[in-house]
Amino acid sequence: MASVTLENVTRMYGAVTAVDQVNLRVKSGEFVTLLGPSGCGKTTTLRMVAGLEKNTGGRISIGDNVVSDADKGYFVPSERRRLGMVFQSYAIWPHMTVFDNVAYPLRIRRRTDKEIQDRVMNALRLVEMEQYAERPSPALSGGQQQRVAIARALVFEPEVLLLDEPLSNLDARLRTQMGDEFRQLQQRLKITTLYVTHDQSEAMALSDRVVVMHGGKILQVGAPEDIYRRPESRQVAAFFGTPNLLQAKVRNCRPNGGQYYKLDVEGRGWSGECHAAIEIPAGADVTVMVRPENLQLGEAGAANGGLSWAGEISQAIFRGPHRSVMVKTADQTLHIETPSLADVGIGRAVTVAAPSDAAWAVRS
Amino acid sequence: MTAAAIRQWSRRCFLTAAGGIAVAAAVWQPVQAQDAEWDKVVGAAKKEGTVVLYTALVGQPSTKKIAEAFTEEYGIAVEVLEARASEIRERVRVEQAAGRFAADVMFTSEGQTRLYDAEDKSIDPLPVTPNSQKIKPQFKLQVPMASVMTIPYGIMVNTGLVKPADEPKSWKDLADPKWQGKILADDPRAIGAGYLWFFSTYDRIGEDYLKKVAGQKLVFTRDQRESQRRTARGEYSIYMPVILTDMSDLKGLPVKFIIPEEGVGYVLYGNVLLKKAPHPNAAKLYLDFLQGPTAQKIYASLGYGPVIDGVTEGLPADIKAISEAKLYGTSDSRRQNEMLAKAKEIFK
Amino acid sequence: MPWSHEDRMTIIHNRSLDDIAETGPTLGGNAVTRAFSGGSIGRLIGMLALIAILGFLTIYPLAMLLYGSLHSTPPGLAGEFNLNGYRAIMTTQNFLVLINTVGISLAKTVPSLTIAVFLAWIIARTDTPFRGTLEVLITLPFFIPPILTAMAWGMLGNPQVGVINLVWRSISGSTDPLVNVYSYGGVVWHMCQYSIPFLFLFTVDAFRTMDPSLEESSRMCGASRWTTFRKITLLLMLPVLTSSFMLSFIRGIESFESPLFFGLPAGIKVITTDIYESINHRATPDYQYATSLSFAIMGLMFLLVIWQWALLRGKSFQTVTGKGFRPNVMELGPWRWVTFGFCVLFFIITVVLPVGQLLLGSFFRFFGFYTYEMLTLEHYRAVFSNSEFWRAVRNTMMLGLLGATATMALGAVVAYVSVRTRWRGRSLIDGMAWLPWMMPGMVLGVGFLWAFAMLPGPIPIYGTVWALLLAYLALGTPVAVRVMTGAYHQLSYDLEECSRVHGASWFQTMWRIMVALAWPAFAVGWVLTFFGIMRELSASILLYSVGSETLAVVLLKLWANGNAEQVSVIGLMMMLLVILFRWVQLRFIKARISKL
Repeated sequence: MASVTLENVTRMYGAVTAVDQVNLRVKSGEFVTLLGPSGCGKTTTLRMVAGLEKNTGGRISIGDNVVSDADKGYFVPSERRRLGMVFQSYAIWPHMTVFDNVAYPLRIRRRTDKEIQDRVMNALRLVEMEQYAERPSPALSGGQQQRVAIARALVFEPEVLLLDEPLSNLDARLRTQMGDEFRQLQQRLKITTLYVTHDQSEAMALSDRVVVMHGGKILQVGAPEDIYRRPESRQVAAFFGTPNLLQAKVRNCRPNGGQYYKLDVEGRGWSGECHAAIEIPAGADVTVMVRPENLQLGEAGAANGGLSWAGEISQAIFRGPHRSVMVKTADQTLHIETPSLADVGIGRAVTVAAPSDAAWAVRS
Repeated sequence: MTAAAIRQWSRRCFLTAAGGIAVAAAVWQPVQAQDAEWDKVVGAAKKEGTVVLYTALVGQPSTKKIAEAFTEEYGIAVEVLEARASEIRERVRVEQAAGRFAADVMFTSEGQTRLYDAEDKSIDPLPVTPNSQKIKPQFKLQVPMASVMTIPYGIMVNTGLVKPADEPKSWKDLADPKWQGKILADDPRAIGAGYLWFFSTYDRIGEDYLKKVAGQKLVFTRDQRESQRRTARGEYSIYMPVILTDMSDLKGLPVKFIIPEEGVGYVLYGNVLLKKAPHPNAAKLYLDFLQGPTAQKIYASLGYGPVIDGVTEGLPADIKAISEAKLYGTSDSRRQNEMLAKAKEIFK
Repeated sequence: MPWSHEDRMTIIHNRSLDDIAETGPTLGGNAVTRAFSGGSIGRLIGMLALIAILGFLTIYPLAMLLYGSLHSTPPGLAGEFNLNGYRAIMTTQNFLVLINTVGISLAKTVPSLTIAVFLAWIIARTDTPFRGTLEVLITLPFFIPPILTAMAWGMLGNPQVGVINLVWRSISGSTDPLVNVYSYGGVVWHMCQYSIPFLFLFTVDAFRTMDPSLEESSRMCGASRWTTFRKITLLLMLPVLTSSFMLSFIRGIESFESPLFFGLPAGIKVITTDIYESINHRATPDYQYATSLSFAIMGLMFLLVIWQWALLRGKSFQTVTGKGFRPNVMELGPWRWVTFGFCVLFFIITVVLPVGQLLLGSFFRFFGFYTYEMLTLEHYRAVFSNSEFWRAVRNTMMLGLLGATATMALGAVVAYVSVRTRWRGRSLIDGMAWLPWMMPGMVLGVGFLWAFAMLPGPIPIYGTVWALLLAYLALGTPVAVRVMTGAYHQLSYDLEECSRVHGASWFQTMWRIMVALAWPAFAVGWVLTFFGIMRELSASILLYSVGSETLAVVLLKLWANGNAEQVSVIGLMMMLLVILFRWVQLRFIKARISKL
């Protein structure tokens, strides 16, 4: 399996910069997701790795081989990069059977019939589609076609697997199921995977690392949990879930004995302790992020370490596994997720509390 | 008889005989010399082995018949290319201009020959061949074409619609108002049978006659054979001018072919020798053959007008009548543009 | 498995495989495959090759004709350059005749397209019974030589003794005829016999391969079936519809046989008659006039091409995505018997009536005289024993098979470059591919004659069968390119890109994916081109050499000699051949695409 390296990769369309100086190294066997809203450049980046678009700046390498170097004018066309790709539309060829679709990459490379038979059936078994081998491909459902597309991408054991929002056309339940299955497959085969999606929960569930992109630039790269808990900017924070973001001023900053820093912060009508990744001087403005699931509702007046706010419940929405509760405080309305069995009454005075490890600050 | 009388008589006999032999010898010598020349041509032609013929008469079974007769006589193959007049003309012109001399002989009309000679300059002067001397004087032409046959044009009526008493007997009869709306006519505003009739009757009968015929609400066509059928099927009472030789093709249909009193309009067809012919001797031989009795008999038996005498003996009466019909008039390509314009004017 | 209705619509990328790059280390393939696999030098070579081929086939003969229009004498004769030709054509009379010609062509094309689209929808998108057979039957009229159908309709519709009028008179008792086929109506009617099947062939596959979800989403938004048809279906088919409209309209302007046969008796004049006369009925053929007039017409036609470019530019008409679908047929309930009846009626009127005449007449000595004494097999015997006929059949078959395949291959490549790439020069080759269609056949034939004969001596084209083949290639390319363009417009780029990413070269992708997916269109184009070659006369008669007569030339000879019955026998044999070809073609398609 090969690694994928992007060095200062840029793509301009006339005066418009779609991808701006992206640097990324995907390790061999790693599952990396490019995550971001529409137009952030993630698909363009993927297509540049695939060779379907040419980067106007920078260099792309697969394994030890440079496949594209804009300055030197060097470019290896798609068909010579030994890649597998799954398209958003699956791109299943309607005039072929399932078997023929999956066999295509092998037939192109003129493998023997025996080899083709073995590999194709193996690939189909991997995705549990082996009994559909002789079906004409248009006769399958979306999920089945998706599997066929995956089998096709894997059948000749490519260096790298590229996927362009492959699950977005499936219903929610199928999406989760197929996503998990695919992740298991990937871990078993240890195949380097570059994945593009706009769905953050999908990105977190499947990836080894997530690359958050916006406006053609990379905002943050890291393991899902790191990005989720310790975003480097307000933008990245806001991208996942619906965090509470509060303005505050730093009173004090000291290392916490590990790799992070402990801050004393004061906001409008509240104060407390939180953590940060870097040293932030006193007097600086910060945004404190507290996620809804980390907030606890307590009786009015109760307080412990960390942060707390006093307020009253303004709204409660039952969401099945949890309940979303809005609490009006002096600063702003906080969004809390509580277990659904908890009892909430609109208008009740409560204290909202968060332990200091759950509060994270970034510079504003 | 006295012995002296016998001696005198036999002396006269002897003198006559001797004189006769002398005269015969004198005449026979050049004929022998001529024959020797011709034999050389025949020999050379056989060596060439092929003659390439371009013909502007498309689809005629006579072409094949005559080609086969020629091959049987001399063992020389005839390769035929057929196309319509303007097409064959342009092919020859272009081929010669490009230096590709592929054809030997062209079978075409007198009018076209004049144009080839004067404008395209694509033909050679006619060679003198044995048979060329024997054709009827009126067919020895100014233009370099070896006349072969005439195609006669007359009038056809549908016998179901036209009673024998009412039949038109002459070209003039076509102006009779009783035929208004009942005549299918070949378009005189285009080169063809209709134009031929227009030309001949313009000179011989006059413009007033034609204006009268124009008032007959003629319906025009350009497809000779299909028009014959349509008239046979009863769409019209009269079709004119009709190619009289088609009579045998339509046997069994309720039609009658009429030879007008004034005579038949005709087109004279013949062979021309193309410049730089690749097989010049075979070409000469072919030219000669077409004017000889074998070929002429074939044409006469189909109803065409031959160019030599004596080949219409023994033919069925109706064919003979057509083949020997009086020739009325033909068109002159020198006045073509002028006459076409007149036709367009009269027959809007 | 049920098709999940929650599958969302595909976002169709309107991108093309546009890479300018230098070639890297190659793993194989020759210069030709590399030419199309990327690499700007390779691409340049490929483009130049296409331009050279098309240039020789189309620009060169047209250049000769242009010379002819600007020179007082045709090539090879001494003369001078002047504009007399163009001056001479600018007369009021010509203008009126032009309007007449345009009017006739519009009167033919618009109804034909409407009926053809209706028929295509019936066959491709409804559950009308016996669709498969009907599809073959409906297109038969196109393959019958026009002179035969003209004769047949003449016999059916002439005001005096036409069969239709006889029946009408006996039913209604009136003495006036119901129809007179020798009129404007007759000319248009005869032309429709050919344009309806032609347009049908063009549009039916576009209907068949369209993703029904595109229409369904419209229906879900509340639009009625009719509105959906109007605003979605027809608009998505715009490339196919405009291409076929233009092809048919231009063909209508160039039409000669129908106006001659049915229009001349009624005094109807069209432009081609004028051109024909200037060549055939002057003492000296006036090629300058004929070519000038032809170019003037061509200039006007080219405006249409530009209009189509402007209309289709930048829009996406991709209806075949890789998502796959089951083509959805609309269930009509009892109405399907009405549509069935319509198709059968169409078949009876356009095929049974005229072909019935031909079939009937072929067994009698003369057409129209159907009495016992006239029964005969002599026409069949004559045709079967005619060695020249069989030689011509062999020649034409070989030319047809070779020519149709070569033409479709060229058309597929040109269409691909024109529609699916952003290479410079693609508009040029697209335009070049239109040119031969816009020249009247009789003039274009002369153009080929001049072009091939005037080549330097050693080049062995004129006088060989290659002259015919190249002429056919040029004549067939417009249809081939249009057919493939329409098909390519419908394919999403994903299908192609996926093939490239998974290792296929340009040629492999072309053959295995593009042509394979466009196979129905390819097959239709092949059949159209093949039979176009069988029928082609104007160029054939000027280019054929002794012994290489084509079928059309033999038919001309037979017809000129009055053997209409034999021509009918041959026409009937051609129809059998057509039925066979079409049956094979449709079988092929069914095997490759899922059943409807």
